[in-house]
Order: sequence, then C-alpha cells, then structure tokens
Amino acid sequence: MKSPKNSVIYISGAVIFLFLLLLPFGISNDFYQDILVTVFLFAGLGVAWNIIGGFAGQFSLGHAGFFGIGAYTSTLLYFNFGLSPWIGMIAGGVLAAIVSMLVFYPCFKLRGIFFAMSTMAFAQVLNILAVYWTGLTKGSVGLLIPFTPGWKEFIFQDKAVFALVAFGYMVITFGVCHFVKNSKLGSYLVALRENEEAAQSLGVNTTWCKLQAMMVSAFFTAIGGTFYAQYVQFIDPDSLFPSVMSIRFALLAIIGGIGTVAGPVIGSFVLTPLDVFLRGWLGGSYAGLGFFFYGCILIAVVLVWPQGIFKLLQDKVELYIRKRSSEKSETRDVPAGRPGRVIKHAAAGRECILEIKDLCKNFGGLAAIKDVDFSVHRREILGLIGPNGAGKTTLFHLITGFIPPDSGEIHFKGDNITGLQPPFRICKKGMSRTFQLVKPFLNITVSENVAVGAYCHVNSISQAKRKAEEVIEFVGLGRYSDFLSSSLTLSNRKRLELARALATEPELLLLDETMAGLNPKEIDEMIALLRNISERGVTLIIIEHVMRAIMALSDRVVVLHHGEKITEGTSAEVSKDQRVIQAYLGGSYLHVEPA
Amino acid sequence: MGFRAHACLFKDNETVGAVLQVFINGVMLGGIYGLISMGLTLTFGVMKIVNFAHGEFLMLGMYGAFWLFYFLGLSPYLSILVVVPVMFLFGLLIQRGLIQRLIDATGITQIFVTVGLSMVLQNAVLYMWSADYRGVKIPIGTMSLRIGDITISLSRLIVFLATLAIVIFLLLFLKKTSLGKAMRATSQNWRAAWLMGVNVRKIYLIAFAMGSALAGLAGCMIIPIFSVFPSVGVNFVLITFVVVVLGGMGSIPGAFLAGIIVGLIETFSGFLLAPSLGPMVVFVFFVLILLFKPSGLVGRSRI
Amino acid sequence: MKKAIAMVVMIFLVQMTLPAFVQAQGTVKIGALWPLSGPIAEDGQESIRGAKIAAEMQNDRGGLWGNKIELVTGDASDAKAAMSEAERLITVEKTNIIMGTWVSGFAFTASQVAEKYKKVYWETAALANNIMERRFNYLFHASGLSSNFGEMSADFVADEVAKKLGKDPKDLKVAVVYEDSLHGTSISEAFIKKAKVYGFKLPVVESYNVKAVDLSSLVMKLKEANPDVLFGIHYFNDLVLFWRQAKEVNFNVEAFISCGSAGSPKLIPQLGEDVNYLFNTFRLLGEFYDGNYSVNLQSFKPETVADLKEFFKRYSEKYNVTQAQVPNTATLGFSGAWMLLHEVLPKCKSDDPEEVRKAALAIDLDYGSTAHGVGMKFAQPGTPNQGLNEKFVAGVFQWQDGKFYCVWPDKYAVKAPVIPMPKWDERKKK
Repeated sequence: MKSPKNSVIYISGAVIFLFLLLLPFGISNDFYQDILVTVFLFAGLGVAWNIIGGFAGQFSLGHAGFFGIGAYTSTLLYFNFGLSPWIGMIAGGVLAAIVSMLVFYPCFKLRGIFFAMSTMAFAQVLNILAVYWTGLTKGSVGLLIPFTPGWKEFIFQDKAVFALVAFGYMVITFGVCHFVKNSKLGSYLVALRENEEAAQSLGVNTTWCKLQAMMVSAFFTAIGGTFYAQYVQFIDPDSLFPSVMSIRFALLAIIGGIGTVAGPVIGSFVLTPLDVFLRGWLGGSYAGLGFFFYGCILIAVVLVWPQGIFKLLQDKVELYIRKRSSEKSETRDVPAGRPGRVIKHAAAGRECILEIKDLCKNFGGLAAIKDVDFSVHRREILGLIGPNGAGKTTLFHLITGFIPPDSGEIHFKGDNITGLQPPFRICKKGMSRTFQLVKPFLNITVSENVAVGAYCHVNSISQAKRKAEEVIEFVGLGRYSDFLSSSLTLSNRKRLELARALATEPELLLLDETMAGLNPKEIDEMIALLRNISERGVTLIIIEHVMRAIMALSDRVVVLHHGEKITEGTSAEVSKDQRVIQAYLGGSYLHVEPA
Repeated sequence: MGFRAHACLFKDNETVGAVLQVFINGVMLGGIYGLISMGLTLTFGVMKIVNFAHGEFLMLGMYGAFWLFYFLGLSPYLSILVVVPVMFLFGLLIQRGLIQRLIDATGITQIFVTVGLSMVLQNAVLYMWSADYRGVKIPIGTMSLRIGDITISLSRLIVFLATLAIVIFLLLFLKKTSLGKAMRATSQNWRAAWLMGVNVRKIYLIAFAMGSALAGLAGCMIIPIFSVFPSVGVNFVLITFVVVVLGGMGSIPGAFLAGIIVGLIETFSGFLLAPSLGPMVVFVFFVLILLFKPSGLVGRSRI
Repeated sequence: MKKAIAMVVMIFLVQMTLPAFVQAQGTVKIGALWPLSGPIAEDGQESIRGAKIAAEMQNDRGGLWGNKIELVTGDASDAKAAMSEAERLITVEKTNIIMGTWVSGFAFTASQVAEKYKKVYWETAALANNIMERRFNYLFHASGLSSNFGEMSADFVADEVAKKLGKDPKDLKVAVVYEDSLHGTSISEAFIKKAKVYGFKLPVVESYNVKAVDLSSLVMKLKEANPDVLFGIHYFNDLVLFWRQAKEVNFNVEAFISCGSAGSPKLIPQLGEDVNYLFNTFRLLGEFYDGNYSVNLQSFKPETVADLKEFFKRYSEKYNVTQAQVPNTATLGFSGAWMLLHEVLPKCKSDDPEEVRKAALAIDLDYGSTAHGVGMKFAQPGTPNQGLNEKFVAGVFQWQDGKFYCVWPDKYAVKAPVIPMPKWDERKKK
C-alpha cells in the first residue's frame, strides 16, 4: 500500500528537517558547529554530484573543477568589483554551468571509465591554470578574504549562521534533486543510465538530458565552492582542485546511496564526522593510520553495500511497513488484448508508411545490406525473415537511426529520414522498435519503465503514469506494475519491451524476434497480442524465426539473404519459393497452415 | 598571463641542438612512462579493470629496491630479481582477495575499490616507514653519454632500453607461449576462451600478478632517478592512465609508443611554453584524443 | 537502523571530548598544530619532535609554574583541517596557546581561529608576508618571512658572489627558478624586487610544479640562457631531481643559491658529493660536525649554546641519528617552542592569553639568544607586521665536503664561501 509508506516518510522527513534546522542553535561549541557546517556543505555537494553521477550515470571525478570555479569567481568578483559574494555565487554557478556544457558536451559520448578520466584531466588542467595564472588568481599564494562580518559580505561572526546557510544550501540542492528525480528529466536520466540505446529508441534525447543534468550539477557544486571560500576565508588551488576533493563528492554519494536523493546527505552525516574523528584521534599520533582505516572501510562498504546505506535503510523500512499493512490483493489478471483506448491511430487506407529504396550498408569489406528495396503499407503486418546473418537486425538499425546507411533512401510517412540520427528523433516521428536481446531498465519498476516511453508525448508525471498504466493493462502485465523489471520472466520482459514501445504511440512498430525464447503457449499469447495491436491501427514489421508466427500474422513477407532481398510476397507464396527454401535449407515449412 | 613563447627557434645552430636535446629528453621520459604503464595496460587488456592503485604498486617496487639497497647494498638493477617475484606474489594475493570480486562489478565499484586500495597502501606505508623521501644514490644515477652537444642520461637510457626489451619479451610471450595465447584469447572474448577450455580465473590471476610484477620492475628501474615516499604513486598515476588510453588500452607496443609521444609533448611544451604547463598540454591532448579517436592512437582494445 | 547510526555518530563525538575530561592535575596544555599527514608530513613531524623536546627540557627545569607542560597535537593536513583542528584544540582541549604551523595557508586559517577566540597563536616558521599583514593581536611570529629570505639572497649575490666573480652586479646574469607554491612564489617575488634594485640581469624567471616528474625542459631553458648565477627555491624532492638532471645535461653555473630544503642532511644519501658548493639561504640552523657547530657560536649567548647542545644530544639519542644529521626542521621546531616555553611563558604567572601577550610584547632579547640565532622583539600593536619578530637574522650556508657550513654574513660564518662552483667535468676529476 502506498499511503502509510508515504505518510511515514513525510512525517519523519519533517521531524528530521526541524531537528537539523534547530541544531545549530543548540550547539555552543564551535568545533562541533564546524563539523555541522561541514556536514551540511558536503551533503549539498554530494547531492549536486549525484545528479550527474548517480542519476545520469556519468561518473565524474572532476567536480572539484566546478567547486574551484565557484570559489574563485565569487572571490575575484568581490576583490575586483566589490560585488557581494551572494551575487558572485550565482555568477560562479552560471560560469560553471557554461564551462560544463562546453567541455563535457563532446565528452558525453565517452563511457564509464573514459568519461571519468576526461573529468579528472579537466580538474587537473584547471588546477595547473589556477597555479600558473598568477595575474588572475595569485597562483599558489592564494586569496585571503578579509574578515568583515556582514550579510552583504557573506561573512558571519557566529558560526551558527554559517550552519544555517549551509543547511539552506543542503535543503535547496536536495529539493532540486528531488524535483528532478520526479520529473520527466529524472525518468529519462534513469532510463539512459540503465540502457542508453533503449532510451534512445523511446525518444529520449540522451545527450541533451545529460547536459541538463551536468549543468545543474555544476551550478550547485560551484555554489558550494563559494560557500567554502566565505567560510574558510582562504582559498588556493591546493585546497580546491585536487582529485581528493572530487573523489570525496563521489564517495558521499556512493556510501550514502548513489541513485537516491537522500543518499549523499546520509553519506555526509556518516563520513564527515568519521573524517574528523580519524584525523583527530589517530592522525596526530600515528600518521597514516586514520586514512588506512578509512580506505579499508571504503573498500568494505563498496563491495558489500554497493547500493549505499540509504537503500539498506529503505529496504528495512519497506519491510517494516509491509509487515504492518495488508498485502495488495487485487490481482489484475487481464487477458492480453482487452480492448482499451490505448492506441489511437485508426487511419485507414493502404498508403505507404515506409519506403526503402536501394539501401546499402558496408562494414569494412562486407556488404551487410545490399540494394534492399521494399515498402510497407499502413496497418499491414510485414514479416522480415531470412537465415541468421542475413542482415535483418542491421536493417532495423538502419531504419531506426542506430546506424547510418551508406547509400539509398528511407522515407517514413512521406518524409525522407535517411541517415536521421540519433534514434530518438525517429521515435519522435512515430516509429518505435524493440530489440533482439531485450533491454529492460532493470533497476526500476515495470510502471516506471513504460512511463519512459509514455513521456514521449506528454510532459507531466501524472499523465505519463496514467498512460503507462493503460498500456501495461493492455499487454497483460497489470499485476506486475510495481514489480522491479529485473524480477520478470523472459516472456514478461518481452511484453514489457512491447509496452514501452507502445507507450510512445508509434504509427510504425519494428519488432525484433519477439517470439525468441518463448514456449508454445507464450507464443500463442504473443501472436494474439500482436494481432490486437495491429487491429488498433499500428503498422508492424516483425523479424522472426518462428515460422508459425510469421504465417499467422504476416500480410506480406520479405526475405533477406546475405544482405539482399531475395523475394517478397504473401507468407504462402514465400514459403513455397525455392530460393527461400534453399536459403533456409529446410523444407518442413512447406505445408504449414495459417493459424 | 605570461606565456613565454620561445623566440628565435630554428634560427641558429645552438637552438637546433637544444631542440634535439629536448627531443631526446622527451623520448627518454617517454620510456619511463611506457615502462610504468606496461603493467596497467596488460591488466586492462585482459581483465578490463582499471587499477587506480597502480601507482602504489610502483611505489612498493621502489621501496623494495630501496630497502634492499639500504640493508644489503644491492644495486636496484639486481634487486629486480627479488622485487619482481615478490610483487608477483603480492599481485596474486590482491587479485585473489579483492580484484576478483570486481570482474562483474559496475564501473563505479571498480573505481572506488581500487581507490580505496590506493589509500590503504599509501597510508600503511606512511605509518610503517614515515613520510621521509628515500633515494638510492648510485653512480649510474647521474652519469650520462655525451654525443657532441647532446647528453643522454644513462639511467634513463637504461630504462628506455629495458622497456624496449620488455615490450619484445611480452609480445613474444603473448604470441608464442600457450599461456600468452590463452591471455590474448581471454582478452578478446573471455566466454569463448572459457568454452575453449581456458581457465579464465587463472588467467585473470596471472595477468594481474604480471601487472603487479611489471610495476615492481618499473619501480626498481626508476629508483635511481626518483626518490620514493608514500604518495609518489600519485604523481604518476594520471599520466599512466593517459598513456594506457592513448596506447589503445591493452596494446603493449601501443603503450610504449604512447609513452614516448606523451613524453615528447611534455618536454616540448615545457620548453616552448613553460615547464609547469607541460602536463597541462598533455591532458588537453588526452581529452582531444579521447574525443576523436577513443580507441587510442594505436587503435585496438585487446592485447 | 537509523538509531544505530545515530548512536555510532554520538559515540564518535563523545570520544573526541573525552580527552578534555581526562585532564591530569598540574599540567599546562599547549597546542601543537603541524601537518602530520599528507605530502608535507615529514616536515611537520620533525617540527613537532623538536617542539616536544623543548617541552621535555622545560619540564626537566620545573615546567611552568610548577606544572608539567603537555603538548596536545593537531594535524593540519590542509587549510580547512588546520582551521578545524585549531578549533578543536581551543574549544575541546581548552588550550590557550597554539604553536605551529610550517605551511602558510594553514597558518592563515588556524591563526584566524585563534584570534577570534583571543588565544595566542605562536607561529614558528610559515613564510608568507600576508600572514602578518593582518595585524592580529594574539599572533606572534618567531621567525622570518619570505621577504627576509628573498632580500637576503639578493644581498648575498650582490655582495659576495659578484665580488668573487669580479663582476659588477649590473653585469651579473641571474636566473630565477622556483616551485610554484606559496613558498617559492613569495620568496622569488622578494628576490626579484631586490634584484631589480641591484640591477641584475634576469634572463630566465620560471616556475615549475613541485610534483613534476621531469624537469629537463626547465634545465634546458637554463642551459640556453647560460646564467652566471642561479637562484632557486625548491623543496627537497624537486631539488634532488633538478640537480641530478642539471648534472646529466652538464648545466654549469658559477653559483647556485637555493632557498629551501637545500640544507637538509638527507641530501647526502641522495646527491652524495654533488651536493657540494650548493648555497642555501637559511635560518641559522646548523649541525654539529665532530663537536663543531656549523654556525659561529661565539655570537650566541652561552646559555643558548648550552640549550642548543642539549637539544642536539637528546634528539640524536631519541631518534637514532648522529648529531650531524639532525634535521633542521626539528631544530627550528625546538627553537620556536623554546622561545615560547623558556623565554616568554616563565615571565608570566599563567597561560592566560592576555598575560602571555603582554609578556611577549615586552620582551627584548638580543640576537643570538635563541637556538636559531635570532633575537626577540615583536613589532608593537599599531605597527605594520604587528607581532612579527623584528630581530630576525638569517645567513647563507654552503655545502663543503659533505658538510653544511654558514659562510655569510661574517658574524655567523665558520668558513669562507667557495665561488665559483667547479664545473661538473672538473668535479669528476676530483
């Protein structure tokens, strides 16, 4: 049940909020106050990092660069123009966002480790520049901010005020992160993190989403940098840019819970006092021992709890709540294909929806697709068959923008889409696809998976949810709506993939071996479902090896062999064609009756 | 800003000599970079894991050579006979205990576990042996060959030649021995290798241990040139990554070539612009290569 | 589970307050804040060793007002940590005085904290001029600033070096290289300012990063410029690398004056004979070579000499080094701490910051009354550099035959400077 869980969360959230808000006033000892300030500051920094690192999965080890940009920008504006650091802070944030866009836009095509390394190089370059460009930054001498307390100067006599400001920073970044997570952007970020190709096929402009996340992340990290400068009142390249600082931001998120909003906050509450403790207790007497333990703890936590502390807590809390409330007992066993208002296209007519003309694609010396030429009419089901390696999936990739063709043309609904990339553009035009090896977004629920597709034409979270629910009902996954997709069987994963693609309201749907791996009963169910979809007005092209399905569904069949179309016609015609039989080396399908 | 461009280049013989010297320096430096990166590129090529603690393995090798010199007066070049096997065993231990768990882990886990390992090693050494700089002074350390106006540091030349020898040795090993072939197979497609009867687990163990041993070897060879202290690995690790990536992440000759290129970039930018900016140019170059040719300069991602 | 975490956090916090409760009767706690971890850890650790010996020695003489001195250490691993540790020492450990800090950035932030609480901050070594420009009331600097070292180096070049080379200062080509951190940057600025007054030619002025793995391009530039004199500001590791690469490339100068770690005895195992002829502008911190100090002790007060000798004896016994190998960072740590613990505090009745402050401002001791040769007279409130020790003196040392001697100014010299430095080829023949 959702309500008790939500109210528990809201109540405990409010309690914690009030407690932390009042805490600075309860602490009289400045040393502990300083710990609190540091905890809040780094909580905010960790949350900011998480937006790009955790949500978008673009692991950055160079965020110290933005931190430094923020600190230097506000400080230099203050020194040279007397600009209040509050304004300088925003300027620093904007500058960091712009820099992030310029530097990382090209870098986004790098994956995983390579992206991380490019970010490290970025921070290092800034470090070297800050040291060398003494005319601007005074190099390693550093900048000393005079202690002139005042709100305009962003310097406070009482540390409690600093703590409050830091608290505000943490709350604001938390809020922004929360907002992003529960928005279309958040859904898209999770999708592209889980599987970038699948996300593209569902209309997600992955590069733009990553950029947005990066800019927001850089903005808030830079603001944290300004706060740091105002709090410590001394900045130099060594305290801002080193990789230890970047690693720290990431560490908070990882220990706390990398894909979650609250994770880095928890991470900061655990790690910051630990830092101080290890340094104070051990560092003084036994240099190195403190960080030795720190490293051991880090390894242990990352290996044992890669999801972070927050997930651990969340699971415990959920378990607790589920024990208390009754199980959801409505099983929505809707048989596949119950009529619904799911698909709207009822355009009649046999006009061409897709035309392929003389399409060619070579990989090195190999001609994967050679002079392929055919058309697809609205509302028909076209079967695409051929032996393994014939080039069927390659053809799909060419049509849906995953690979550019070398020559030839593709027209969709009358528009020339030859070579249109990236794939999300094709989806926006009204064409969707599924993949030969299913690509579910494993770590989110079925409903959230389908919502990604639904967002293709809607913007609000409630609309997307509603649409997703409809489609999920339609394909018969109703009772699995809140299940993690990683828990689904293969057959249901295929339905999920289908549902996701359907949610984008395609006029043309390309299905790649949907029947593969299904048992006969499941195949029958899938055939019925596909027929249902077709009756709703969606044009289908299906790649299949399961001849029963081809015979049952296809209006026409195109046969590929070694990248060339060897024949096309009705399924009956094709099944008797000598060339086709030869290509498959099997005559057992000569006499299969349509289902 | 104060960039000091080097004027009067190519105008007189003296400067031509200087350029040649800078070139030699770059190549020698590149030899060092290449040597240090050998182990990392081998490990990555086979296991597809980037070891952020590689610099610390180097550091341990350096300390090993130092202590042998300090207590037994053993020349670092001879210490290789001791340090390399010890580091090999150490690598086995670490792989078995830790790295093996990273094979299927996410990139984040890999990065952070090895970052944690680097922290653990650095600080364990700091605790045991203090932060003092330790060096090995042997005559070779400052001897040089003089050819006309050009000088070539002997110790660096030895490193360069050794690296060359190691590249040849590794290539022969990988091409001719069955273990080497098994490694190459695993690096190309571990599943297929597994199905062909290759004990992939054992290959991973050996590859990592070899990477560790190579780092130890590098440590012995560079201790006559650089002093060792607990965080010396940090100075090298980022450049090592650059070299490994530029070399095509897994290509042995690629890493050597890339090392030389990086060395040249660094010395020339240092000479023409300013010494502090040498590394910066390397990093910018690195990012550009990542963008335009991510498979590296030599362009393969298998050994 | 949340409860468990909260409890663990509470335990951490409580643990840190425990020391404050466990205060033995009759002790005076004094904070000792130095970098004990990280890249500068070595210098920090040695400094604290010196300070600890000072505390022991004073305790043997009755401590302070019948109480034992207890040094409470803090680890200033970076600028922010220095700030937090200073706060911990003051608010949790309840110290009224903090000694430190070696690194200027850390000294900035930590002394700011002390000033806020009106606790005395006793700086022994950090060099940046702007530490003292803030005119704090409770901040005292026992030693010199970068301007002193920079200017003194320039003076030495103009007086001794130019003379010995038979050149007019205006004809002297002086190359300046420096590591690009605060240390190098601030001293080089001061040197260059004075150099312009003398009219030196400055063909090369280059910075480099202390972590650099290769300095060959720097050496190449220097070789091209062919200077008479090289003035360099280095830390230890980079000096070793630089000098080795200079030898490899056969880069020769008539005189190499360094300002930094060139005085460390640990250079011998690294550079061997190549260390000879190097000059180092330095505080007057020497070593005992066969019982003879490398600074002229006749200009020191007898009691100071005795204290100095005792320090050396204790250090070499405790840490198992010869008296020729005592690191000068330790000696400086000792001297700075001794100035506080032995000269200033006994003149007070307690460690009350106001009293300590008054006593420090009132003190007036001549040169040679401290272990590193300086006097004690702190700039009065209202003057620029308030709190800075005005009776600061330093000298130029030179390595000769593997030993480090003071060679300038005459008052403190024990040997004459050897100029010019033999070329590398000539050295080999020796």
